[in-house]
Amino acid sequence: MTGCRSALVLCYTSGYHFWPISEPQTNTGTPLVLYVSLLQCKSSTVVVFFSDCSLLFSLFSEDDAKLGARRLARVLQKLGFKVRFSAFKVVNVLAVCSMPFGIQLVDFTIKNRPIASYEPELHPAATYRIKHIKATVQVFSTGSITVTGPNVQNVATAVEQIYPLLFECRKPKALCK
Amino acid sequence: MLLTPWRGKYHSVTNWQSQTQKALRMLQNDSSFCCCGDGLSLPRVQCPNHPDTILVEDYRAGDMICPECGLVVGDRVIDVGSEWRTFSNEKALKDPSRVGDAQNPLLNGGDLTTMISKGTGAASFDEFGNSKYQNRRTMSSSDRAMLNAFKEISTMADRINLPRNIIDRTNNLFKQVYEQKSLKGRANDAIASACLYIACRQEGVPRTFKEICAVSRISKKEIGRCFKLILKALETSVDLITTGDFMSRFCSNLGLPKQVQMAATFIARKAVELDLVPGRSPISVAAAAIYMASQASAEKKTQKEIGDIAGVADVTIRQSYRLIYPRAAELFPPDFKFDTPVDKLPQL
Repeated sequence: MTGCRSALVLCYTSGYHFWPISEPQTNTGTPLVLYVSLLQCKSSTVVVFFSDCSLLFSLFSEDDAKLGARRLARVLQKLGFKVRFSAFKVVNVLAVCSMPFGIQLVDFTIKNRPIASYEPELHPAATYRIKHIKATVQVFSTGSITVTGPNVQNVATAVEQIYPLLFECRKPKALCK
Repeated sequence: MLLTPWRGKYHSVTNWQSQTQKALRMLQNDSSFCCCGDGLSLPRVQCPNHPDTILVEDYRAGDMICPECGLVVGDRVIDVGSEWRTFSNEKALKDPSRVGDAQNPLLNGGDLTTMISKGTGAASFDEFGNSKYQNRRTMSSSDRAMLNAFKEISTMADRINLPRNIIDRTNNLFKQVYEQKSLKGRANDAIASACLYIACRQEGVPRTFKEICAVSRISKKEIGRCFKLILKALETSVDLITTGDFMSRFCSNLGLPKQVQMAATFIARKAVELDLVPGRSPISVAAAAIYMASQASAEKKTQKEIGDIAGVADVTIRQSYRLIYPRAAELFPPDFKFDTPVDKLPQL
């Protein structure tokens, strides 16, 4: 991927739908966002960083991620950079999931003592780390959870594992406003 | 076999002192100790007849006595306490404690170094005016960082008037973390602040992160990070904070009477039970409860004042207040005397 500031500035002025993620004030410059269309109905938003990482949003599988990365490489190629699609690796997968019930975080934390941790002063979510599949689940009191893991399979397993624990600590409907 | 009239002799209360004189002479010839222990460990002094009893130490005579049979097992035991008594109200110019402070074995690992202080009188200076015996010998460097941290901890704790037991616990935590070396790259001050936070939590009197920030030079983010790292390194966990932990401190800082404090505690607890404030930090809920209780009583406090004491922004208090306002009537304790009735409470 591109590794220097001038390259990204060129991308920005190239006429493609690149735009900066925020005011360009940082020393290394700001990462750029690109809207990439994959197929007819699917599209993804890509954030390109100065290092050799880029983030792809709104995708549903690892194959889509690869396709999105290829599309990005094609765009850069058209701009004239020498791009070769070599080592593609999915590093981190972030998934968001919403439970149909609210969750009482205090009960949840007390029941799952050393694995779950909840610091209301630091972050409004309770963090549950599943060591053997290396996934982290963040549980919010509204019932939505975010799961991060190294691949999609781990994330799916994590959701399955955590669902019964969440179900025990759900908020009864009467209390929900 | 040399007969030793002292070693092995059963002591009686009356003639300890004279026996000691004899013993000292005898023992110069005799060097056999009643020691048992395997070859790998250091020889442990034990009574030969009762190897399992814990020996009683008679510090005046410097003896170790077996309480079961009265045998004097070890003698000439050196007392490592302070040599003389010193009183704080005595303005003595010289410090009578020649051996120094009592050892702090838990924390320092045996501080046996000698420090040379600045000399008085003419003889301590050589011809160039420099002091002859150059300052203090450096103590072991590993201890120095730890002692610096202990000093920092004690300064921080002093600013918020923390008692000695919390400071001791903090020191212990810091020592454990420091020896583990897993957080070696972090600033010692950050680790010290986080240890202070954990110690307060463990003692049941938690302080908010913002309160610890106020007495430390480290940012809240960094203290939070170190806090999580320390919990992972020491493999402990702490209890969750509740609204009641902070009530007495916040209310007394605001100067609110006991009735208002009890009412605020009740309101906050009820609000959490009825789950009117999901996802809100307990401190924001506590602040809103104090606001509601104070507005209903004769001592009305503004949101800004409460926000300053609790370290909460006044918009946050406003938001939490809006959540508990609709059911205010249920939240007050039944025996509360209203100065302003519930329907006249300010609506934000």
